[in-house]
Amino acid sequence: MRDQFTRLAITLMLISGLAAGALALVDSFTAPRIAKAKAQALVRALTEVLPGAATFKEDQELLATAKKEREFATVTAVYRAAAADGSPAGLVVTVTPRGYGGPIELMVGIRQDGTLAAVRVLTQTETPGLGTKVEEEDFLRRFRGAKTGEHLTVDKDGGRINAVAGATISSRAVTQGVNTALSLAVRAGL
Amino acid sequence: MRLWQDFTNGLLKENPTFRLVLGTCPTMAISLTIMNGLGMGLAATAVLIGSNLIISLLRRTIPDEIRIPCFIVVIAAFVTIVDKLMNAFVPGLHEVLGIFIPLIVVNCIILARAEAFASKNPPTNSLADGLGMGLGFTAALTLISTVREFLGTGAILAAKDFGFTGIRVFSEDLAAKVMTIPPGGFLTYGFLLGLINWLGERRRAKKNG
Repeated sequence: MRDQFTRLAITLMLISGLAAGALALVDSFTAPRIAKAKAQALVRALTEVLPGAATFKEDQELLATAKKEREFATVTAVYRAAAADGSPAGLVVTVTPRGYGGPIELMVGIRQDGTLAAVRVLTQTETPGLGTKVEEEDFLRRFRGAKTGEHLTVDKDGGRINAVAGATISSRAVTQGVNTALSLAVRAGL
Repeated sequence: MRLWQDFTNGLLKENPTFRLVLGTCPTMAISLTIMNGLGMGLAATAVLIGSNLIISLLRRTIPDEIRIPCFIVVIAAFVTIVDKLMNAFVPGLHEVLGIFIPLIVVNCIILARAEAFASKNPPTNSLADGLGMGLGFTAALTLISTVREFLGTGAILAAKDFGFTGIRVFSEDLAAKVMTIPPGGFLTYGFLLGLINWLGERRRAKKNG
């Protein structure tokens, strides 16, 4: 009886060992490629919201201090941008306000002078055909040129941002996210 | 000849999606665009071929009492390999299919074929069965995706992550958005299942008399 159990255990162990070996082999040549592609995709996204900046550096310290406040609870990453000559070029903030169908992940680029360069929606799960329109440039360009210190609201709440028809909650969420990013820019000294 | 039968079995007679009704969860979730359907189907096919081959080769080594854990280890290893390869070489598609790639592990088609076929048949037949079942699953996914993408967006063959917006057939304003959300998936699946059953019945009736 005991022999039987030992045999079962050893067989399963051998199969698991073989599987682990195969995985290690695959990982050894895919991991560097995956890391590289990820880093490239990030730089591409960052450059898209803050054109003109040459390098981006994650500011863990600012993120850690900001996260302690409720206002910045939705911030997930902060990048400080620098121009080619090394002078500061602005700030990129990723923030995830709550939309209608779940969190909306936004990337907001703010220039060194405190004006908003561009907003991109990275991921969202809004209602197809309605809320999903907030990721279109037609809506997102309404935020361009907003300044730090400004508090944006959608037209329904008396503000100047035209909400997407039929998607007030999604529009409000994006506006909220942009406000959070603008406040954080003030905190960062922009 | 047996080999050919094992291959075609999964395409029609025992099509995993339409005849066995297995693996419906990923089917509902990703059958939004033809590209998604094809990508998911081919990823599952790769796993199915690999796991069927290995399990068939090990069928005399694996003790009966622990066959399920052994199958799962083999399947999980193949899924992880496919997941990593896709992430490294087709990151766009990998991002779209997201969580559904790792979930191939629990796709019952894979385990069902290991248990019902690969553990009892020689490697060549198991390869043929894996390929047939995989392609049957791919074809079914593609069929459902075609209906949903066409009715739901008014375009076909969109591959946003590769910068292709698809071939527009009619205006997006006229598209039935419901097709792109889960209820549309169930409707499409139900109607296609009914249609295929009806065609099957009719053929059988003709044969008999």
